[in-house]
Amino acid sequence: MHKTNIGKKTKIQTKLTIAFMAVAVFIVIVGSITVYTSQTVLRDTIGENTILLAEETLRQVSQDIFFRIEEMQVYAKDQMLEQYLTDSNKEFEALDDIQAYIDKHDKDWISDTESSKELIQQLENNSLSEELQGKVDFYNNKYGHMIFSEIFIANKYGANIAQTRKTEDYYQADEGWWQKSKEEGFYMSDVVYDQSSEIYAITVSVRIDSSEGDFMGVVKAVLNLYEITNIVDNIKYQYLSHLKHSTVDVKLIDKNDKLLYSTGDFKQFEDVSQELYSRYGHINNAQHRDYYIGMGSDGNKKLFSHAHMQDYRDFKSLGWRLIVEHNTREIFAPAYRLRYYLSLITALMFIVAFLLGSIISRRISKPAADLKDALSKINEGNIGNVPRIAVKSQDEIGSLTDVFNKVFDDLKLKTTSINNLDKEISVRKKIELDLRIEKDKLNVILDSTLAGIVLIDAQTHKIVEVNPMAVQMIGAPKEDIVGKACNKFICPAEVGKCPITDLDQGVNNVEGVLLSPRGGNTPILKTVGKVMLGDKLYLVESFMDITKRKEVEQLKDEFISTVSHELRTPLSIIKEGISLVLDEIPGKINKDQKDILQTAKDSTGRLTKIINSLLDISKFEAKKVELERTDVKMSDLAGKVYDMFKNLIEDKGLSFTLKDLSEESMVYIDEDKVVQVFTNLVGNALKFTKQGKIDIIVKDVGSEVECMVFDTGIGIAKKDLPNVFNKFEQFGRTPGPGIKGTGLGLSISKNIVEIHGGQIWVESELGKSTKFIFTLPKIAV
Amino acid sequence: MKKILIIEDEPEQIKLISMRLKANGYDVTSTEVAREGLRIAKEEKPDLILLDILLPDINGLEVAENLKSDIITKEIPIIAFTALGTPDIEEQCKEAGISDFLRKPYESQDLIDKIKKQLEA
Repeated sequence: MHKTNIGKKTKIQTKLTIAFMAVAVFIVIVGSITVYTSQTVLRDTIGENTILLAEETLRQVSQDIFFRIEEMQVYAKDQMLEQYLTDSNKEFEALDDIQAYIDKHDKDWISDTESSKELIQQLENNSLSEELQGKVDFYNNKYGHMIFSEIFIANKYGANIAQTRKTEDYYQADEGWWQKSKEEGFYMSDVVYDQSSEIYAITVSVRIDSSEGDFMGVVKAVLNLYEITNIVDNIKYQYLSHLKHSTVDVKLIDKNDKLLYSTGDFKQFEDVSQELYSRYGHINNAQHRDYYIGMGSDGNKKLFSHAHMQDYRDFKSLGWRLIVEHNTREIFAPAYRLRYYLSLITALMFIVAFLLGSIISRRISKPAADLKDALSKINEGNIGNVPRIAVKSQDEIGSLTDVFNKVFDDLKLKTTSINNLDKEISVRKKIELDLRIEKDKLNVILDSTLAGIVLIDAQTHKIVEVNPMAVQMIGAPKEDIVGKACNKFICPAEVGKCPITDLDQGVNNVEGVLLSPRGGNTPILKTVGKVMLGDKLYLVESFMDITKRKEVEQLKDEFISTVSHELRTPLSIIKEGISLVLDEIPGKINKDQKDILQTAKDSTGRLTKIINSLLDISKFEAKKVELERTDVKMSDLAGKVYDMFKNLIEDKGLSFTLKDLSEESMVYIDEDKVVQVFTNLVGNALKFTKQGKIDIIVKDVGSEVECMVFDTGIGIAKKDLPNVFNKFEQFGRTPGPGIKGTGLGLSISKNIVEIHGGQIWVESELGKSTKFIFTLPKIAV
Repeated sequence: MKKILIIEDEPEQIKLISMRLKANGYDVTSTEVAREGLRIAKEEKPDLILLDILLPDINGLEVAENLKSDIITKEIPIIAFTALGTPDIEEQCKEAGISDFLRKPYESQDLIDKIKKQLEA
């Protein structure tokens, strides 16, 4: 059974589990996508932000430079400057050989002569220069560092007219910047290292025009890159201060891929084109702005954001580039955090979905599975072991389980009843079978028994049942017997005089008659018992046909009568005849004759005894003897016996004593019969004792009197002791003439003693002595 | 001299008893037939009747009853004797009015004693 359960695993559970798993997986997928896209978006955003920052920074730089240039341009409109330039230009115009003049001053400028010094001083200390210096100082003071490291002005002929410090040359017109400025109105150089100021700077020159628009001269300033580098530094600072990012590095690169500035360690003007190229590919496009994630030189993964400087108003872009480097760990931290949390949430959702799925599916499927199991068990017939299913869910399955439980309880009850019924039926069947067997047994017995058995309702005295033997004995058909009153067939008692029910007599092995419908009664020996069948009292009569017995008895009686009569009559005559002669009535006789006749008479006496004994036995057997009981004192009786035998015994030469220990005991006995017993015992003692003594002992032993006849005679062998009281047994009988007995005496004595309610037994030692003992119940005083 | 009537069906028995009785000084009459005995009893009125129970024609007991119911013979004592061994015979004899009883074979002296006793009574 279990196998099938596993094989056919509850589909609902599987389905639900799969569903939830699908959901969970879906969640994971969605989550992953979310995470991924979020990462991408975030990255893009962050990247974009950094690019924007870079761009903004570059814009700031541009702006800074722009404004500085604008300052200069504004300054170029300065009145004093205009005046000075006008004056200088007028001066130079007035010269004959302007070129010679400039060359001379130029030569002087670089020599270390007095005149050069004077010239320089003159240039440096004029009010224009002072004004310029004032500007320089102003910025210096304001910002704490040089903004303009140098400003000088050259007239339209290219000659310095004012400067904040000694320039390299006096003559500037051959310089590219001067020419560019004159032509285009403005010139800006690349970043260079300014020796005199010891700074990296940009040279900016602006054409100065008169209000009429005539070229008057050029003003040139050296802009400290420091401002710009500050701006660049600010990025790092911003990141550090606001976001605590410490891995930001910003690189400022000019249009020639020369590293202008880096917030980290750098080599000024290093050519980083290779690096740029490898990273960005073709990025010379001025519009290129992008970010790139890759490995930095320090081995960390970095975000490289890249932006080009754009034109600022009418200020053409310098073509500089800014690269912001950021450890991805830092810059993408939000993304990572997001990723982490999203992943966590996804995982959690997955687990929750999974668990929920399991739980719910179990909650749903378990009741169903339980239901299914229970039903399977019922199907197997195993209803006894099926437990009630706990209703756990509130849904349809719960209701179903409820219904199931109800149905099941009902079914259980019914099945139990059925089972009980089944059991009962089989028990009943067994009982029926047993009953039938018993009935059959009974019938067999009843049918085959030689006794007639009749069942009578004790109350109505109607015959309820007869067995075949009874039917046969009664001699009427069964249907004529059953239902009739019992005194019609069974016993001749009158109505109301039933010996059992009315007269309360016991009928046990009593002779009675069966009343035959044909007339003529059958003598029977019957016993009647009372029995309760169910709640009714019945009489069970069982009887045997003793016709034969009766006939035999009668024959016996007749025989005995006849025989005894026939024996006695001649015996009487013989005896009388002998007596007459012995008494010498017909005439005298001599001694010899007397002896002979006496012997003969003795013999007749013996014969008489035998005949009497025979008669006695038949009497006893028929139990027709009625004892004539009287109160007798034991001592008297014993004395009588003693007197009877005294002479006889002593004549034989034996000692004869009577020990009376009866202590006045009285017995309720037939005296003659008991005397007969004594006679028998003493007679036997006399017969079998040749020498020694014979004792009679009567003793009071509580509720009885014990009578003993003891002799020192020949005794009885142990093997013969059990048979002593049997009829016709004789012991110690020597063949030939001698002591002869009837063999009946002890049997008769036993009968007499037992009829009186006593016991008789013998103890003997062969060759030594014999004791015959019998007891008689005493009369309680 | 007292007269004794013997009603007995054995002639030898009669002979012997008569001898004994005569030797004791009694006058003896006898018959083997009960009917005859009745007649003799009624006619001669003996002093005592010895009656055997088992008789060929009439049961000795009936004879006794007859004798006892007849006014003439009512007073005559009857001694019955029989060879019958039935135990209740004595009882039956008593009921029939018989005064005494002897079983055969009997002691001769017993007979004489019983006769004496009846005659003296």
